[in-house]
Amino acid sequence: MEDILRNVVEHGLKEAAEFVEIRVQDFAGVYVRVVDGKIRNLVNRGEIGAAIRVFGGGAWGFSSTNNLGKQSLLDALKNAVSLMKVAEKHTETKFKLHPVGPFVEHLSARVKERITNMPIEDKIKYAIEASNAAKKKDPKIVSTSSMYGDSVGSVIVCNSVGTYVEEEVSYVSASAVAYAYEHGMRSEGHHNIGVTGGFEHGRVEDAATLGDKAAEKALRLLKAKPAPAGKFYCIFDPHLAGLFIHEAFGHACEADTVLNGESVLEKRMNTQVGVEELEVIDDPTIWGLYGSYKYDSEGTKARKKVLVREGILNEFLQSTETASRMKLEANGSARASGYHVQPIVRMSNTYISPRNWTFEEMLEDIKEGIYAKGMNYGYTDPSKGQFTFKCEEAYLIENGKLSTIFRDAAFTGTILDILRNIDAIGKDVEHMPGICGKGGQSIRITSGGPHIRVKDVVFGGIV
Amino acid sequence: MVELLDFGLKAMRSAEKLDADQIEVFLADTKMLTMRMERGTIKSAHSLTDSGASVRVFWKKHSAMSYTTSLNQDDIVNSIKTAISAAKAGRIDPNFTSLPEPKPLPKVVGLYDTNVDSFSIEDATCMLMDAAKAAKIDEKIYSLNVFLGVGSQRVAVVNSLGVMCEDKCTSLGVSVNVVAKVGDDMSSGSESKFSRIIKNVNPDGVGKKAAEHAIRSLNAKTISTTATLPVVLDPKAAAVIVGGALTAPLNAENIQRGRSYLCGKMGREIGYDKFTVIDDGTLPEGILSLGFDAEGVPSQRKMLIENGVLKNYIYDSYTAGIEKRDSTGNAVRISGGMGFADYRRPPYISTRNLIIPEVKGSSEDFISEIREGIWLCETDDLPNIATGEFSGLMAEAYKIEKGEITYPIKQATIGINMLDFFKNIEAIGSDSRQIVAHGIDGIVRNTFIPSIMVKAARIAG
Repeated sequence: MEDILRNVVEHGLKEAAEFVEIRVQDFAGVYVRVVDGKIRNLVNRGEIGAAIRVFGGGAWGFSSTNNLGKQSLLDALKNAVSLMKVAEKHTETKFKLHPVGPFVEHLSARVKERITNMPIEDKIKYAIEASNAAKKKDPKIVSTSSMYGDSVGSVIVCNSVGTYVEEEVSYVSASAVAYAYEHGMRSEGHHNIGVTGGFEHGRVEDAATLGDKAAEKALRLLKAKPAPAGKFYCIFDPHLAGLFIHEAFGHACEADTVLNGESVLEKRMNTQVGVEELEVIDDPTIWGLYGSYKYDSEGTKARKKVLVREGILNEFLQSTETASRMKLEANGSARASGYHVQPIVRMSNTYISPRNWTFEEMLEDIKEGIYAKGMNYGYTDPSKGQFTFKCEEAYLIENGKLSTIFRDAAFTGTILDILRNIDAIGKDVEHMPGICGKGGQSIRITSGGPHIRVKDVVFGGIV
Repeated sequence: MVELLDFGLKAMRSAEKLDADQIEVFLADTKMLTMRMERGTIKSAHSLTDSGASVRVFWKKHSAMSYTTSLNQDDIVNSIKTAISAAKAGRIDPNFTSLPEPKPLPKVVGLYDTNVDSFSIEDATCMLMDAAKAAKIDEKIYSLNVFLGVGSQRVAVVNSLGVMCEDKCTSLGVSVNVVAKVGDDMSSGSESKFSRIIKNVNPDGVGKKAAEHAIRSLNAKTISTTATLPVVLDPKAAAVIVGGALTAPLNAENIQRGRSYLCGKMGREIGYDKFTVIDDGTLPEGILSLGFDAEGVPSQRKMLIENGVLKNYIYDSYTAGIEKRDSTGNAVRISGGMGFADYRRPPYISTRNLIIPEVKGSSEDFISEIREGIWLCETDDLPNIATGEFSGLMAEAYKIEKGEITYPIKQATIGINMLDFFKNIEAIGSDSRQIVAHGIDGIVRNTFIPSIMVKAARIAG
C-alpha cells in the first residue's frame, strides 16, 4: 500500500500541486438499536475509501473514491487537481502551506479485549440488557430504547512532505433512554458512554448500570416542575460545565472560525478572557477517552493544547492551513469524519482544569440559585459569542440546600460575560463522551470539567 | 446507462436460494459537487461520487441490515449473506409483520432538472460569486462565507414481495453566512435556498437576505425583563418550532410507546381552528419528494392537523404492521440538506415536505397590532417530545413597541408549551416562504410556512 500511495503523491507533485495528501480510511463495526427489549436495527457496517487533497496557490481540490486500485487513485488525483486549478483562478487569499513533519509511525490500537473477537450475540445481549434494565426499574417506566455501536479501523495519511502514518482506531459507544409516565406527566432520561479502545470491563459500564441510570433520571424528572425564567446565581455540574466550554468557548477557538472573521475571540490572543483561575485544555492524547487520537487526519502528531492559561487566551486549535496562514505551527487539530470529507479544525477532549472548591462549599454561599445538571444539547453563534444550553435537570437552591427539581431549563448568555462571572471552580473533573457536528461532519469528542459556579445566568422557562 | 433496478433485481435473484424470508435492497447512486467560499474568496472544490446498496433481511421474524459501497452484484449478495448471519444471531421480534407489498406509485413532477445535473464547476463558481457579490451591500459586512452544493441521485428499492421502484432527482443549494461588524459589535446572518430545479435558486436574493439579517441585528440590546408577551414568528423561526413539535412527536413509534406529548390526541382539537399542517411526499419540486419512500411505499399527501384537529400520525411499514394498517410512506434515509438519501443509514420515520396553508396578512400587519411584544426571526431549539415544552434562545429577535420594531434583542429566551402554542395562535399570515432546516436533532425539514402570531409566550432576558 505504501508504495502505491507514495507513487500517487509523486504524480500529484508533477501535476503542479504544491502539496498532495492521500488519506485511506477503513472501518468495520456493528450497530444495534433496541426498542422496548426488541431489536429494531441490527446493522453490519464497514467500508474503505481514499481521500485525495491537493493544494496550490491558496486553493484546495479534493476528491474521494472507494476504489483503492492504483488507476482509480490516479483518476481521483487528476480530478482533484483540475478542481484545484479552477478554484485557484478565483482565490484572492494566496499563501504557502507549511505542513509539519515528516512523521513516520505505525500505531496499533491499545486494547485489552478486541471488539472483533467479541461475538455479535454479546453485543446484542448488551443492548437488550440495557433496555430491559431500564424497563425493570419501575412500573412508571413505559418505554425504553438502547443502542450499542462499535468500530475498528485504520487511518493512513501519506503526504508530499514525507509523512506516512498509520493509526488503528477502535471505539465502543452505548446509550439508554427511558420514558416515564404518571398522572398525565411524561419524562425522558438519557445516559450514554463512549471510549476509544476495546470492550474492557470496568472501562465500559455494564449494561444494567447504563439502563438503570437512564431510568433513574426519567423517574426524577417525572416529579419535575417547569423551569422558571429569570436571572440566577448558578452551579453547573461537570457535564454541563464541559458542554458549555466545548460549545460556547471551544468552537470560537477553532482557527478556521477565527480566520473567517466568525469568532468573538479574533484579536483577543494573549488577553484576559476569563477569571484568573480559569484554565481550558484540549487534549487528544489522554488514553481511552472518546475524543482521543495520536495523529490527526492530516498526519500531524497530536498534542495537548492549553487554550486558556490563568484566564488569558493562549492558543487556538490549528490545521495545517490555518497555522500556515497565521504563521504558526499546526497543532494536530484537523479531523475528518470519513474518507469522503476534508479535514477541518476540530476539538478532541476539551475540559476546564480543576481547582480546589468542593460542591458543598459552592452550595453553602447561595441564598437563592439554580443547580443545573447534565446536557441535552447546546449551540453557539461564535461571532456574537451568544449561546444557549438545555440542561437535563435543574434544582432550585434555597439557603444553601437543593430543593425543587425543574425540567427543560435552558440558559443563555455570551461567552466572555460568563467566563468573567465564574467565581468558583471545583476539584472533581469528569469527561463526558459525545458527538460534535460541524460542516456536516460528526466526530467523537469528550467535554468535561469540574463543578463551576457562575453569577447572573439568564434562564428561559415557561413560568 | 444500466438501470439501478437491474442491479437490485439480479442480486435478489441470486439470493433466492439463501435462507431468508424477505429481502429488501435499497440502491443509490449519487454525484455531487460542493464549493466553499470563505471570506469572499473561493477556498475549496470537492467532487464526490458515491454508489452503494443497503440490504435488509428478515428471517423467522429476526432482522438485520448490511451495506456495500458498490453496485456490484457479488458484493450485494455478500451483504445479503452477512445480514442473514447477523439476523440469525439476533432475536425474534413478534411485532414484525412484513415488508410492504407493491402498490401503484404517484407521479411526482419537478424532481429532476437536466440543467442541475449538468452543472459544471464554472457554473458553480459563477453562482458562488453572484451570491457573494449580492451580500456585499454595505461596508459593515465583515466576513462572508458561501457554500454551494449541486448534484444528482438515482435511487431504487426492490424487495422480495415484488416492490420495484426507481427514480432520479437533482438538488441545488446555496447558503450564505455573513458577519457584520461595527467597532466591537458583531452580528451574523444566514440565508439559504435549496431546490430540485435551477430556476428556483436565486443566488443574489440569498446573498442579499443574509447580509440584511446581519446588519439589522447589529446593536442588539438585552431586554432585562421577564414577561409574558405576544410573539410574531417569522417563517424561519416558525418552521423550526412547528416542525420540531410535529416530526418526532407524530412518529408512530413514539406514539405507540407512549413517549410523545401528542399521545391520545388523535381526532381531538389541539389548536387554533385555522391552523392546518399537511405532510406531502408528492409535492411538485419538493426537496423531500419522491414517488416512493425508503421502503418502496407510495408517497402520500395527508393532513397532520386540519383546522386545529389532529388527523394523522406518520408510519413506516413496521409501525403500521403493529396497528394492522398501511404505512403512510414516511420511511426515509435522508441525510443532509440536499435531500439525498444515504444508503448507509437504516430507514427512519420522518415527515416529508410540510405545508402550513396561508390565511391572511403579513408579519408587518401583525406587528402593527402589538403594543408590546417580540418579533422572532430565528431560533434553533426544539420542543421536548415528552412534555411538549419549548424553551429556547431567540437567536435573532426584535422588540415590538406600539406597533413598531424598536431594537434587536440579544441573550433572551422564549418558553411555551406547544399545546398552548397551537391554541394561542391568533393569526396566520399569507407570506409563506420555503424553509429548509437541518435541525439539531439531525432531521432535515422542508417547510412552506407563513408568519404566525401567538398571543402569549414567556420571554426572559
